[in-house]
Amino acid sequence: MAVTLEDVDHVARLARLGLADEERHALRADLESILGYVDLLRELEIPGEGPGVEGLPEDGCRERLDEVRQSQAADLVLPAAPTVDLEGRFFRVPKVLD
Amino acid sequence: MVNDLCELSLVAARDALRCGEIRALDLAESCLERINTVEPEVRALLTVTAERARAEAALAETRLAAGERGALLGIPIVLKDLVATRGVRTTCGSRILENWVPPYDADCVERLQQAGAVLVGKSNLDEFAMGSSNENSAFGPTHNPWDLACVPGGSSGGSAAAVAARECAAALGTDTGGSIRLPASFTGTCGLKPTYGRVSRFGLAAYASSLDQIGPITRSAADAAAVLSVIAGHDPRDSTTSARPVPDYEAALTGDVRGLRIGVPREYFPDELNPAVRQAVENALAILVERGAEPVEVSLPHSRYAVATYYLLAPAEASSNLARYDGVRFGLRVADPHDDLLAMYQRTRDAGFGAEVKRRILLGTWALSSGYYDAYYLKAQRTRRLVRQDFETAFQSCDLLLAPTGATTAFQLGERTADPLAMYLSDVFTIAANLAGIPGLSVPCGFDSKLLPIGLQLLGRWFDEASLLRTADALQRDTDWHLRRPPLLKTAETR
Amino acid sequence: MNDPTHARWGDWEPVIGLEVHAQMRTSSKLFCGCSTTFGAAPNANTCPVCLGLPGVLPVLNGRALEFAILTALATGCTVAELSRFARKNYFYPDLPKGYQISMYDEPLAVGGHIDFNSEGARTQVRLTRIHMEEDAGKSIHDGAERESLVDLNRAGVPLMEIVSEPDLRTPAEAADYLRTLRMILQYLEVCDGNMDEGSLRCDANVSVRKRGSDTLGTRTETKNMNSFRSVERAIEVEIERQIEVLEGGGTIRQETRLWDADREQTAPMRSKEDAHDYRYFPEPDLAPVRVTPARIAAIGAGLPELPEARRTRFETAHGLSTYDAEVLTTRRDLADYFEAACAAGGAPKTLANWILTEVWRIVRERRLDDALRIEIWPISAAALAALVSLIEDRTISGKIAKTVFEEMLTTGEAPAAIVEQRGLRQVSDEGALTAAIDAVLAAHPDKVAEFRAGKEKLLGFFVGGVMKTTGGKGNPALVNQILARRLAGG
Repeated sequence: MAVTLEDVDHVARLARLGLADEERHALRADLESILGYVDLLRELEIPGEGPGVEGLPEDGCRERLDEVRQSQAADLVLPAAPTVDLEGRFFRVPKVLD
Repeated sequence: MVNDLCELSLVAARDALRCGEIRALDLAESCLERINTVEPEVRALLTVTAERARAEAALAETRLAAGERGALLGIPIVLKDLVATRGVRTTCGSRILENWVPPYDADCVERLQQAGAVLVGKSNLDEFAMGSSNENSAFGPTHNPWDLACVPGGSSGGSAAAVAARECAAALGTDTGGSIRLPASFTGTCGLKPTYGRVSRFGLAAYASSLDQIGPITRSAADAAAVLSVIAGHDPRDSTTSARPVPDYEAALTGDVRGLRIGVPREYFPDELNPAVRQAVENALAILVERGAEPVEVSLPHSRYAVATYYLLAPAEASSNLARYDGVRFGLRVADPHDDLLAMYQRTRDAGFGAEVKRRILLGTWALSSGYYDAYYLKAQRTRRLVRQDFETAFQSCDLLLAPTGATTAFQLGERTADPLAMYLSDVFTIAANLAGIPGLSVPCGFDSKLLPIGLQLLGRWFDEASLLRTADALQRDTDWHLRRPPLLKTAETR
Repeated sequence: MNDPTHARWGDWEPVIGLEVHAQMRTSSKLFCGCSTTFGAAPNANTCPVCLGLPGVLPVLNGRALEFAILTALATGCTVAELSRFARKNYFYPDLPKGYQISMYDEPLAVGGHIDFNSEGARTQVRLTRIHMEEDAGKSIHDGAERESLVDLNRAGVPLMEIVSEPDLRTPAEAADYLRTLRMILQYLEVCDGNMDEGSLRCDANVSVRKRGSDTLGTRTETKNMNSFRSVERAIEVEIERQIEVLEGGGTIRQETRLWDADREQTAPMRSKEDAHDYRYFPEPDLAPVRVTPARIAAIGAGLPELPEARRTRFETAHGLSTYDAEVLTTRRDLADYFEAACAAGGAPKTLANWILTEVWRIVRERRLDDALRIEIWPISAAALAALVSLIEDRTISGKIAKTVFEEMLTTGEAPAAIVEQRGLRQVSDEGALTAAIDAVLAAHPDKVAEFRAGKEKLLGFFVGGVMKTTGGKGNPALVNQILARRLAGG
């Protein structure tokens, strides 16, 4: 599997990873080598059933009761957050579009 | 005051505490003392919780004096720093969480506290558990107590090294593709990855949710049984935990393996296998056979696809699990005053994550991205099913499987860092158990010519940790590999 | 009937489908125990799970699942025995985990339909699917500031996404479909349907094509409409924009657009630029949702009578006009109130009049209509029935009844007690009324002469005079009858 620098840039953007130029080159080579290895799976012909995650409980998704459990976590999380507003109630981020 | 109480195994220490022979505070001090002595070289711990250890040891003494018999009352433990501890910094081995203090305890931490365990520290690891050597920690590698030039294995290398160096009686690690078993193998300790769903993942920072499990790293199988009995069980906060009752694992340690059918999967003994490893593993099998077990040859035909499957699925889940480290609500934020949101995200994640984490995030993003999903992610899920079915078939003719844990013994620091793929292949024998969700255990079974420990791996049926522990314990009744001490400790003591 | 789209859009035909997000009326969030209450202090309704802190895990709210199943059953959908949560991956500050837990290619339910009346015609819209997902938080953009503020109270509130097929052809039809859907959700008590507060939100997929064509044009998705009026207007504007672009030789870009209600226009949403690759994959923290046929049947047994059926019954069983029956059944609370009042012994037609005028006015004024709970309405159904019975048995007139109604609102007293205490009982004694009438006529001999000379509209003047002297309590029918007789010289 050939991996180009553009491919690296594309997935890096989807993953919101800023990469230095040398990192891009190194990662391109790494991805190419790893994806080359995983191409091993191509030799397997597997009759297609739907997708799914193996290994999860077979008997279905466990549920909880619809009960309110108030948490005080925000009182601990907000003061330790990277930045908050003056009253300390909102998380603050660089302006988001739209 | 110097004492060598830290040399006691968990079970021995527990018995001595219960009958008042030793004091929990002295035991804790002994571990703290050992930490002071060996840490400059081993670097197993990211945080030493000395004050908390003393407070918890004092509390344990009160409870002991009141006649309580908590399963781990007064036992000094170390937690992999991927497990959330309320009020104690939890870094996940990453710059992005360097100063993060969780407002909650992981389920296993609550259970350990209830059982009376004494937390002495949080252990080093490959960043977010991504690695096989502990060299991917943002805070520098841990060194193998058996040879400081060697890696302790990863990603629970700090936990394994701490146990090997007797800095604690037991530690918790996490295992996504071998991260408990490989370090256990490299450090001469006993490491158990329980069945998926046996131990709650609540409070465990996720690497690959469908594969991650928490488990004990100890000096003996008996010690592991004691810890597993405490941490296993249903947790309403982790809906993937099983509601099956937790057996008394210590009661399962009967020493009796008569009639036990031990499967020997031929794919795990390739021609190129390190001869010392082969020899030691075969020797261990012979001992078990002498005790009455029956060897059975089995095949796991899809074994050769396990690593490739894993390195698609685990990074895919990781790429999503690690999206929450975005500089908004907690952890590191790196931004210039004029940065827009995109720049803040990119700068934060570039500065916060190390090379291996970035590599796996990119790999996983790739495997899930439009146009590649079917060929990579979906194909890997289907292959995962085949790997599981291999085990189902094998367990029709045997009760457990026996194999090497690692294809080699501990390698040199720096030896595999240049080639990510070579590093990934370190996990060739451990990964399948995670894909199948079955329990796996590694115990020492010998040493190579460089006097580095060799690990024996036992793989069991779903939720049959008891058979693994019983078999490993039986082996340890006839051998003393698990009692050997790293040379480092001898020099440390004579200093 | 003739096609109303012809006149407006020439040979272009709009094709519209709606994606409706309905917040479910559970007490706690979809995957954690935080309250879903609207209007709490910023970030007060959050916990490690909905803040997306490391190591915490989602646990499904069973009631949310049951609400979604109930909705699926009420709209004729087939509930899947196995459905699966999936992660939709994208970065946004109000999405704490960097992914939304939603459902993707294995949704909870598929293939239903909703039938409704629109622009005088019976219309059916097919439903593609219904699935569950978690809501995002809110980013607050403060005009001049270079920063946004993030409030995660809404993050994790359970949503149902109800996706229609592109079966709608006009903006009005889309709005009528949405009204019908809202009515059903409110009947099921699974969503309060409040568009202002965002508990019911709607995205419109709009494309246009040449009339007669059976291929679909490129569609856009328009968001941010928070009223029925906005939905209708935004679709209208988007249709016109697309036609203009196409007629100018341009092409439509598949994109997400944002409705600006003040400017009455749609504009592309910049933040969604790389939204086309959400990297959906099955949620590894949650096992697949398995719903047994027995559970589906048990939930189905709890389905209430739906508006259409109820309307028909109101017409036949209670003798209401089609109009009254339709209006009363637009809301389950209103219909419940009506039936409770009937059961308490009121005359159905009179009750319907009172409910649709006085009672509903007060409920709206006091903004009690959002709660969907008749227990908190200021006049109980039984009290209204008692009041109506007083009118029916002629204890009071309809006019006096309004006074009694106001008194009931302020004092909360029973209508009979108010009538007695304030002496409002209707005067039906012929002798007393005749005396009062004679007194009024005697006081205005000139007016009597004018009346007799043919100025018949003066009758109202005399009635008014009589009512004044009787304190409004004169039995109006009797007063009219006697007055007519006396004026005629009897």
